[in-house]
Amino acid sequence: MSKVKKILRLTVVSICIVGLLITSMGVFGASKSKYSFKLTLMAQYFGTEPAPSNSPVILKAEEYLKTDLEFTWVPADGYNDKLNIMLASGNLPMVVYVPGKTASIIGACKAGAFWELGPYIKQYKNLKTIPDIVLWNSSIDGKIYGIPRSRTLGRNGIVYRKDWAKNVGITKLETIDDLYNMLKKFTYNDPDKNGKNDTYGMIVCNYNGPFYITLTWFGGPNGWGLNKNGQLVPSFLTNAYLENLKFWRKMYQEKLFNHDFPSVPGARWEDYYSQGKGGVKIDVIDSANRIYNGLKNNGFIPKDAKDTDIMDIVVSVKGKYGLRNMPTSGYAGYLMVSKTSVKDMNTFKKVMSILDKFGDRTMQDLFGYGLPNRHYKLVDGKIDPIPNLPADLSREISGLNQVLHFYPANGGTPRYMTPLLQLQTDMQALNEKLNILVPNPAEALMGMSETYIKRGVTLDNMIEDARVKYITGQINDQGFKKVLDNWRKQGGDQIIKEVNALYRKYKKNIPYKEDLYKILN
Amino acid sequence: MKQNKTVASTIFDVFNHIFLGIWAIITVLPFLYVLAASFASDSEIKTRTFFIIPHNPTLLTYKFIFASNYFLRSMLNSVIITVGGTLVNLFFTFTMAYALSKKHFIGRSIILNGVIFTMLFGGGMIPTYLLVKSLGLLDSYWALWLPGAISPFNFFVVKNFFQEMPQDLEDAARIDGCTEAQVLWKIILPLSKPIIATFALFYGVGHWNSWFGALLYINDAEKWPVQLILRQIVMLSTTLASDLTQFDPNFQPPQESLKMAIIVVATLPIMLLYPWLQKYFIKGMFIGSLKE
Repeated sequence: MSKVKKILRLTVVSICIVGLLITSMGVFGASKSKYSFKLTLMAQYFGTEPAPSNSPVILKAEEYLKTDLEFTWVPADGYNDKLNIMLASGNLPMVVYVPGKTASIIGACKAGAFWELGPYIKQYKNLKTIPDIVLWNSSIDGKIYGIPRSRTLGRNGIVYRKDWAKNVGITKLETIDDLYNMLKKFTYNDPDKNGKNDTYGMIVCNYNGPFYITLTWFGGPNGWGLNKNGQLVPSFLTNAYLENLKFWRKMYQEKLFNHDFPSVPGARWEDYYSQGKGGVKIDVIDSANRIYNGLKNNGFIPKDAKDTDIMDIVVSVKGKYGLRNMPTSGYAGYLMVSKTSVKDMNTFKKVMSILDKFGDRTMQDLFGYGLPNRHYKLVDGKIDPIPNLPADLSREISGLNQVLHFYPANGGTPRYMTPLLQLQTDMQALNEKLNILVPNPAEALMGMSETYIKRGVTLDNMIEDARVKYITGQINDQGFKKVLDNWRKQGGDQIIKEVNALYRKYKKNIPYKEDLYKILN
Repeated sequence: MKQNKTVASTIFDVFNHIFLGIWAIITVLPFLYVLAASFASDSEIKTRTFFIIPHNPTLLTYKFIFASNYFLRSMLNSVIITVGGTLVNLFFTFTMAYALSKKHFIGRSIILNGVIFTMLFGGGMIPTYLLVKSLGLLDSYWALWLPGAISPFNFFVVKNFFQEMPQDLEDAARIDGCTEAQVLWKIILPLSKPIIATFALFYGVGHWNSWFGALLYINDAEKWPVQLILRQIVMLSTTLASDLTQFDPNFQPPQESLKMAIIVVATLPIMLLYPWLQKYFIKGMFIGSLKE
């Protein structure tokens, strides 16, 4: 009996082990290739699950590009770890999404891990539409190593509750004083008419964007500005910064925004608005539609109200120096071409021409929105995404827009717009048309300053810490000045010196006029 | 057995019960909240701060999770990784520990010192990655199983356990005609059930909860364990803040209740293991079943 049992046991165990071996080695995963060229890409994705390789959207794109596409998807949260380790191992796919100029990326570019695209970019019909400002902002060491992923430059503005403004009798929002007045009334005059004192003028979170937007209203620079002596100076060494700090401290003391702001995570920021707790948001303009949707889902607005009755947008408010606003850097990450897997010029050109085709209308529609009547409907020839798709369908397009560079901008079929979406788009365009955006001349220079690469994070945190402490009244003018002196001593002065040296060297490459980034105050 | 309690000991008992009761509640409450929130609507999670019973319970998030086979597949992947990994761990740890528990083993002290060395110094992430890559293990579960196949600490515990076993027992077995392998398989291992169960649980929980290895070594999303997805969902909604302009205008962070439901589904299986292994814990991992 024991012999039979033993043999039985042995077979079961060995079958298990062999089975595990085979399945885990991925023998069954051998891929079939339909086209002569295969492009491998690595990108991040948000949400629960990336698009599967047999997604009809990807198959359609492969047909259009006549290329096999092989994606390596990495969860957004672990992307930098994975990127760094693959950089170190020299094991990169052909096209790599790079989130930003970290020290390791700058090092890898300098060491020649990626192709320099600068000399070629103008030869391709879609890629040549990348604006010079964005190319300059995204450059590393004065060279272009990646195709920037487009973001609207004029994305910032002021979003507010139009219905609240009506309730408290406000008709215009043109100056900083108007805004202050609005915040006050939104806080104390019961704008939602529920008889309770439960609203804030605005909600602030641990993200510092709003503070730096208002800084430009007071004549301050965007990051760095040019002073009277022709020197670049960081924003916090200007008078405007101090004036802005005082403005924010005053608002804090009068409780025009929430006192727990340093501990409010950015992910919860918009929640407060969609619960009807705040009236004004100084941030990206496109948050207007998200707030409206949130309010609607939470049942805070009457059924027959139009979206533009609830939300309104202005690009900026006037201060002593007229209308001014802060732009974005114009891009969010890059697509880079790795030298380890794209070895010769012919392959490189092939890869570039495929990347160029990513900007074609077909590709922007496919990877941006999916397939018609499956992921979106066409309304008057415009794309209207189907809301709340079943999981299996929404998964087919998940993450794909992360490999688009969106050049030419608005190159896809236009989206169907509600009045509010239309307003958002108009306001973004107005931002750029009005010529009020203050550029940051040092945007591309910071990554070249040795001291900034080494100590930048620590030094930035010092200022950030002092900013919050000043607004909440924990330190005064002397305290703030002490922090600035400390900043200078611990490497700040060195950074200023290096940035100015770089500025003199690269001045002719900077694609905008000097008077745009002069410090006014 | 009846005891006459003094006042002091009664007070002590009462205090003890209250203290441990509060402690138990503190431990259980977060789980209850996560469970309740997984059945609640998003707006309820955002408007109410803490609750055990949702006002309008809904199964929506669970329907969403189980509607896509992706999530179920990742659960299956986790099971394969955990079971396979634990078997690999137990096999290597116990065989190595048994051999090195024998004093007459040649080169024993050199090997033991080698093991101690790995406890103090490690190559770090990048060299390990390079090694795994050059062994051709990328994209296979062996990349998750082999690099940590033996935990040095667990190894020493098992080795000491084997050393405590009386030599007489093995001698008796040998006189009865057992080979070396038979001694281990028929005599030693049956006596080691508690310690096997304990380390199976230690290793198993470790495999179930780990995600970083899969992030580094497994490129094929079809082979990802559930923890990687769970982490992505939970972290996205908390760390997204750092630079909001980086995100797409149309990007919506994942829903709160979905997050909670996935925590529940991902934690439940491994929690259900405890009752089955508990009897071995009561016996204790250092107590053998041998009486001299």
